[in-house]
Amino acid sequence: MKNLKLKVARVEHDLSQAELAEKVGVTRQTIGLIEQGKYNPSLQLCISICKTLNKTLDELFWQKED
Amino acid sequence: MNFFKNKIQDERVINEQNKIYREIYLLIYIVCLVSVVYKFFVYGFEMEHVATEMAIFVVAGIYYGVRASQKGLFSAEVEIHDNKSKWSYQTKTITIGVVVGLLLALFFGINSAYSYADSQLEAIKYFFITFVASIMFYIPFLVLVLAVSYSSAKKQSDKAVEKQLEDDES
Repeated sequence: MKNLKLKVARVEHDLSQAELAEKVGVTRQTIGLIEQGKYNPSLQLCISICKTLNKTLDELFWQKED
Repeated sequence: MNFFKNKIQDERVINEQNKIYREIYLLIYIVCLVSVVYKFFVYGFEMEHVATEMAIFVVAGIYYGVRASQKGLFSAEVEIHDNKSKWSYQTKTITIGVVVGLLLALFFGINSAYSYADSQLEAIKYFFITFVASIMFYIPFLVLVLAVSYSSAKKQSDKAVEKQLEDDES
């Protein structure tokens, strides 16, 4: 499942995938795969992304069941 | 009873197992290296005695290179490296080729002077002849091999990354 919340938060901060990747110390490919829902990040990386984008874990990574 | 029902694996256990596999890999490398040094010491500097160890080094290196390119990891390695370092990965690769070529030329030059010369003047002459000839051969050869393998691995890796991120507008 795609992580659109992460994508929206990133765009809100006017960051490209490469810029966010550099800020959290991973590759553009990793950010791209997380947004596509093809890679599950570790909790440490989730927290790092949340801190960079000023969001909580829930806001970016919690998915409500339909 | 369904034996295939429980497919959930403990990621901590898998991560720890992977760490152990990595340590085993390192251990095998160290054992091979010790074996090479020991065989050179016992049998002299002959490659035929250490062929198995060399095959392990070369095959493992090539296997990693090919798999890392196929999975797009090589591009990731280059990206992470270039973000952190002043020297680009490509510059570093070419520099390694030049340095290894120089070291080989130095080794062959000293070996030639030490093994075949009868006087000091002859030793200097043999050293320079072998040194210059080795530089002319090994540096272009190593730089070419490293540059070609770098660019082909990068190209394949970039292609794998693009495929993984295909439906991404970025």
